[in-house]
Amino acid sequence: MPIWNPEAETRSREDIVQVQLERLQSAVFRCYKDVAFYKKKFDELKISPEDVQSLGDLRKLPFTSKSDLRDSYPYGMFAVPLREIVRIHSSSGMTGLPAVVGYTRNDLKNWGDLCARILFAAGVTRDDVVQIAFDYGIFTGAFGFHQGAEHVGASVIPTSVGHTDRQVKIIQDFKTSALACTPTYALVIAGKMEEMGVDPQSTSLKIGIFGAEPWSEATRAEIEQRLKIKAADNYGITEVIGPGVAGECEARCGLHIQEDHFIAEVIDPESLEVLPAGSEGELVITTLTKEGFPLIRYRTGDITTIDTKPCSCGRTFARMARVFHRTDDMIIVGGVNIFPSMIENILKQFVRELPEYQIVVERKAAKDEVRINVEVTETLFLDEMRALRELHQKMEKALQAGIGVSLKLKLVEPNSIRTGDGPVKRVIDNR
Amino acid sequence: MLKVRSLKVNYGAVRALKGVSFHVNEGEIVTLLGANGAGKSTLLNTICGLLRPAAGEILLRDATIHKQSPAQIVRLGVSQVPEGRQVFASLSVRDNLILGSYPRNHSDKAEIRKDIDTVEELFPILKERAKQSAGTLSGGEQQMLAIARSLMARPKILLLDEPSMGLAPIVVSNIFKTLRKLREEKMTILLIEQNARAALSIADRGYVLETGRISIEGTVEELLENKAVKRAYLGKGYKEVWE
Repeated sequence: MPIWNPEAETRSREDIVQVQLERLQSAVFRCYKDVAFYKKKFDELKISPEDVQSLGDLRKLPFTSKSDLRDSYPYGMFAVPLREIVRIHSSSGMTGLPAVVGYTRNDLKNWGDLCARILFAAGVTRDDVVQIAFDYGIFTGAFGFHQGAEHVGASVIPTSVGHTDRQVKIIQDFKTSALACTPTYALVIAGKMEEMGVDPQSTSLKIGIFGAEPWSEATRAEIEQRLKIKAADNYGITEVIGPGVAGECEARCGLHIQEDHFIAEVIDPESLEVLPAGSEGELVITTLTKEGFPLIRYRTGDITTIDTKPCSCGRTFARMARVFHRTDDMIIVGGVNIFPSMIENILKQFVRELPEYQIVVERKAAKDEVRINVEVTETLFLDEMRALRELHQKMEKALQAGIGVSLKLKLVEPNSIRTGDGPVKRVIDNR
Repeated sequence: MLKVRSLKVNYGAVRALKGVSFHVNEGEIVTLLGANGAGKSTLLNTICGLLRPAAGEILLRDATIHKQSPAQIVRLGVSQVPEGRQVFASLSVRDNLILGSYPRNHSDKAEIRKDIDTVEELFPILKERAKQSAGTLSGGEQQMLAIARSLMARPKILLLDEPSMGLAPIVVSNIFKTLRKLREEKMTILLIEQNARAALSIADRGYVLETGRISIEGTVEELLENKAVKRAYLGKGYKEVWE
């Protein structure tokens, strides 16, 4: 299959290293010069941009964490004045502060090219009609793929998420050939088709580009079988750029990391040591070309491995394994990131003392269901059934509004969640 | 063609280059922009072997050259057109050209003759003035002679140090047209310039050197879009005024 940007995507390893070194040195210099956070960190550690003389020197540099981004909310880590920023997106921190990311014109151009590479690798060409059913808004997913698909020259339909019957009608009438959305939503669309009496296997759809949440090979098989399409995975993260970081080719042996724009490392999340090639650990990404919001060694919290062996597709970029787990308790439901801390912040609005709670995610009929179990405590205990029911309703509404996904709240018996002395398992993901 | 990795160069106690990396692909024009004192000429002189790096490496077609003598480096195919032309004023234009072929095995007169024809075709004025002493040429003509003289060595890569310096805009435009023509003939060129606008009009990619370090790199389109480049190097003439 052809490659979108063969000059970049099929460079020899030696040339990749040369380009990475050049870009890393200038990126680190710009971070030091233009981002107060990095200057301070470098000075504290008594290191200077000059210390980066090889790619291996990257490990001398400090990490950037999610909390660093929160501390600099909203614009503290931008490397250019706001007037040079032409687009702003943000991650989904619906309760805690989200990470705000800014793009210059060059950043948008690069982002478009990166998403084009990933769509092209998934099989999208200018002959395709691409329906983007990611949420258009402050999230990066829809806009990233939108630009990428336009860049490829495909016909883009920005349907956004929701109004599933209309999505189905558009697929039928507009002859959509490629669908970009979360894997969960792809299954919702398939279900809707069946409900509407439309045969999901006889539409014009042939390609699916799915992401923004973990999805198993079983889910992939189900989507491919039910919609009769090829479903490709990709990896992106708002803080780093959005979609466009890595994508799957036809060989399906991992996701090619766009190494001319990003350097990926895998570390042990406990010791923070860089792990040898092929080991499983936390993915850490350094941006090489970003002007507006550059990041040095950003800890993504995603667990993966990196494979540098050549791929049969001809692309020379290393591949990361599909991401199924995270280092923290974050779970992703319908493309929305949920942290236990978000639940805690909301529960605290109702009770003085935080009750024990647990988040349970299950996949039922192709839909992810979230249930939050909360132990009834003395402070939560109300004799009056009506008052208790009202409180239950209020809490459930607040949780839904605060987290942004529909969920159920269940009040459970005291001491049913905390059973031993060890830490309570906050998240039970049964998907 | 040319790869430079983490180059550090000291001038006595002063570190002029603090770990500079860049590359020039075959058939490309790459420009290095930078203010006075950024380290541009230091970089060029180090590539040519006139200065020794304290650290880092320089590779020409994947072979290291930073330990060779300047004469060997010229013979390997690196030709510099120095800042301020530096033609031999008392020699004729033709003799300047013949001198340029010295790094090669110059026993073959016919080959040299052929090369003189080629460069004179590129710069017709040099044919007209062949017998004139080089010192009587105008600044622009001297610059053309300096470039032609470098080409006589049949370089693999041509390094130009501020070819626009002190020349009228119309002359600069002529010289840059010739560089573009050379590129069409697959010549690889590293162009050092303060005149960013002129350099970016013909280059494929560029790097911005700032106090001995590369601060920005990218395609010409990216550099032209970069506000920091606009502010610092393109300056007036842009509608928007940046602080």
